[in-house]
Amino acid sequence: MAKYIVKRIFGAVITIFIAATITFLLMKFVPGSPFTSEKTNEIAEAALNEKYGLDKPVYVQYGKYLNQLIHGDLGVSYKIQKNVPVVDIIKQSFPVSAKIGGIAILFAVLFGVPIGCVAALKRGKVLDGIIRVVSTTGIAIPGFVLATGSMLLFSIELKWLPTYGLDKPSSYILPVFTLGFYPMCYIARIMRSSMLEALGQDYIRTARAKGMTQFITTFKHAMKNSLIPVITYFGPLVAYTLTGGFVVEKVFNINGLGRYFIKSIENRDYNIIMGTTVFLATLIILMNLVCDILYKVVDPRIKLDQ
Amino acid sequence: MAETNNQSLLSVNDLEVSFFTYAGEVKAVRKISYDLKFGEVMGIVGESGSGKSVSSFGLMGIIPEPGKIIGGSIVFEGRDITKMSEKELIKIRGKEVSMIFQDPMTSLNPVFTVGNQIDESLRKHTELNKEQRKERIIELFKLVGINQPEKRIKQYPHEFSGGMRQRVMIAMALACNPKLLIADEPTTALDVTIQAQILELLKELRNKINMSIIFITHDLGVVSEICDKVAVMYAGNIIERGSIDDIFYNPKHPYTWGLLKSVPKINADEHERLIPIEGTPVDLINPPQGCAFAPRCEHCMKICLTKKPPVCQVGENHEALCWLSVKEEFEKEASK
Repeated sequence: MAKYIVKRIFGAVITIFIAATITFLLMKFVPGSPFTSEKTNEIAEAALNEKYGLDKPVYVQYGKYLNQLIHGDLGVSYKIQKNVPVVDIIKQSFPVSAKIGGIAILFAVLFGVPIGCVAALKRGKVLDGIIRVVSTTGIAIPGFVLATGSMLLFSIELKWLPTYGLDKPSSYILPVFTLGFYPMCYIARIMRSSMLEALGQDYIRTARAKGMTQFITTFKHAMKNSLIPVITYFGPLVAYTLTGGFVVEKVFNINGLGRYFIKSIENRDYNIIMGTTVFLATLIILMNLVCDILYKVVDPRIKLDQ
Repeated sequence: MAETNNQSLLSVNDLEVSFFTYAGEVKAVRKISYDLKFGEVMGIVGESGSGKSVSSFGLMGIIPEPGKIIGGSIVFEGRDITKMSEKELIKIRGKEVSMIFQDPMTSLNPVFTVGNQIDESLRKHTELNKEQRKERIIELFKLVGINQPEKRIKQYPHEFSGGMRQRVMIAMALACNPKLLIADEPTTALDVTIQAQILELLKELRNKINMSIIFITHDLGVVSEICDKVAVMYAGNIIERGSIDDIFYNPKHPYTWGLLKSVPKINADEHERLIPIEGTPVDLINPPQGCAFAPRCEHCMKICLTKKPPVCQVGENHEALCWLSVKEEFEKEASK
C-alpha cells in the first residue's frame, strides 16, 4: 500500500509538470499581456514587462517559473491584486470556496445516494418517475439559470434568503443548493442504474433466502456493490467543487477561488492562471488517488498494485 | 439412510404460480401437489422452464417479480406459507427453510467476507454472542470440509474456487439447522469431480443432521444417487411422481420414458445413439387445452389433445398424469 502511494505521488509530480508546461505554453501563445489596456502607453508597458521579466524569451521565463514552482513560489499577481503573492490569494480564497463546496458535496452525496436507491427500489412506480424527471431536469438546467432563478424566487420574491455574501448561516443555502444540485441529480442517476444492476444479482436472492429484510439487502448488500460508479464520479467532482464554482461565486458575490479562474484569463494575469491551474491539477490528482484507494475499500477484488 | 418418520413436514397443494409479463400471464406452475416427510429427500427433475425452480422459490416466498402465487397452499409444519406476511416469512427463511443455488460463483456477495455473510444469518436467527457465532461458523466450515477455517472465514468469495464457494453456500444454508433444505441445481455449474464431492457431502450431511431436502436438478444420475422419491415436472405440472424405483424401473409417463432414454449409458453399444425428445416445450402463456406434452408425445391419442389427463394412481405412492395410465387401468378392469 505505502509503496503504491509513493509510486502514485511520483507519477503525480510528472503529471503536474506536464499540466504546468502545457498551460504555460498555451498562455504565452494567447495574444495580449497583463499590462495592455487603452490607457497604458508603450513605454510604460515595456517598463512593466521588464520589471516582471516578461520581455525575456519564453524558454527563459518558463525556466524561471519552474524554478519558482519547485520552491513552492507561485509568483505575484500582475493585475487583479497587484503584487500580492498568488499563494496568498489562494490561501485566502480557497477556504471560502472549499467551505461552500464541501457542504455542497455533502448535500449531493447525502441526498443523491439514497434518492438513487429509492428510485431503483421503486422502479417503474410513480416515485421513480418523479425522481427520474427531476434528476434529468437537474442535469439539463445550466448553473446560472438555477442560481439566478432560485435567487429570484427565494430572495427577491419570497424574501426568505439573502441575495449575496456569506455573513449569515442562511446565506449558505442558495449557493450550496446551486452548487450541489447538479451533482446530486447526477449521483442519483448513476446510483439508480448501478443499484438496479446490483439488485438483479444472484447474491441479493441469496441474502433474501437467508431471511434478510429488504432494508438490509438494499442498503447493505446491493449498495456496497453499486458504489463504484459513484466513486469514479466523486473524485473530479470534489476537486472541481472545492475550488469553487465561477457562476455561483459571481451570482452570489462570494470572494472564493472560483472567480479567479476566469478573471485571471480575462486579464492575462499569468501567475494567477498558472497558480490556479497547478492548484486544481494537484487537487484532481490527489482526489483520484483517494478514489483509487476507496475502490479498494469498497471492493476487495480490486488490486491496487497492478 | 436417515430415519424418516411418517409425519409430514411440508405439503404443497394445487400450487399455482404465474408471471405477469407484458406479453401476458405466464403460467409457470400449474397446480402441483406433493408431500415431504421429515428426513426425506425428494428430487424434482425437469427441463429448463418446467417450473421446478419457481415452485421451490415459492416455498420461501422469494418468487422474483413479476411472479406471484395465485392459488393453492404450501403447508409447512402446519402453517400455510402462502398466507404469511413478509415479516413472518423473514423468520422462516434461512432458519426453517434454507436454500442453496445453482451458481456459487455469483450467489455470494463479492464485497463481504464469507464469514460475515454466514454471521449475518446467525445474528438474525439465533441468540448466540459474537464468540459463539464465530465458533459455529468454524464448526460449519469443518462440517462442509473447508480446511483452515479460522483463516478462510476472513476471506472474500473471490479467494475461493467454485466448489469451495458451493461449500460455503451449504455452510450458510445449514447455519441455523433448517428443517428443510432446498438445493436448486447445486451441482450444475461445477465440474464433474467437484460435483461428486458436493453430492457426497450432501449425502453425508443428510445422514448426520436428518433434514429434509428438495433436490432440484435436470440430472437423473444425481437423482438416483441421493433421492428417496422423485417428481418429474413438465410445463408447470408434475407429470409423474413416485419412489426412485418407480421412476427408474417402472416409469409410466412417456415424458419420463423420454428422459430416461436420453441419459447416456455407460454400458451402451458403440454405435448406440441417445434418443432425444423431439420438439420444443409448450408456450406457457397459452398452455394447450389437453396434455401439455401431447404435441411431442409418440403415444398421443385423440383425447390427449382435448382434455387434460387426471392424476392416475398407478401404484402405491406412484402417480402419473397421463391418459395412457387411465387407459391401462380400464383395460385391466375390463379383462377382470
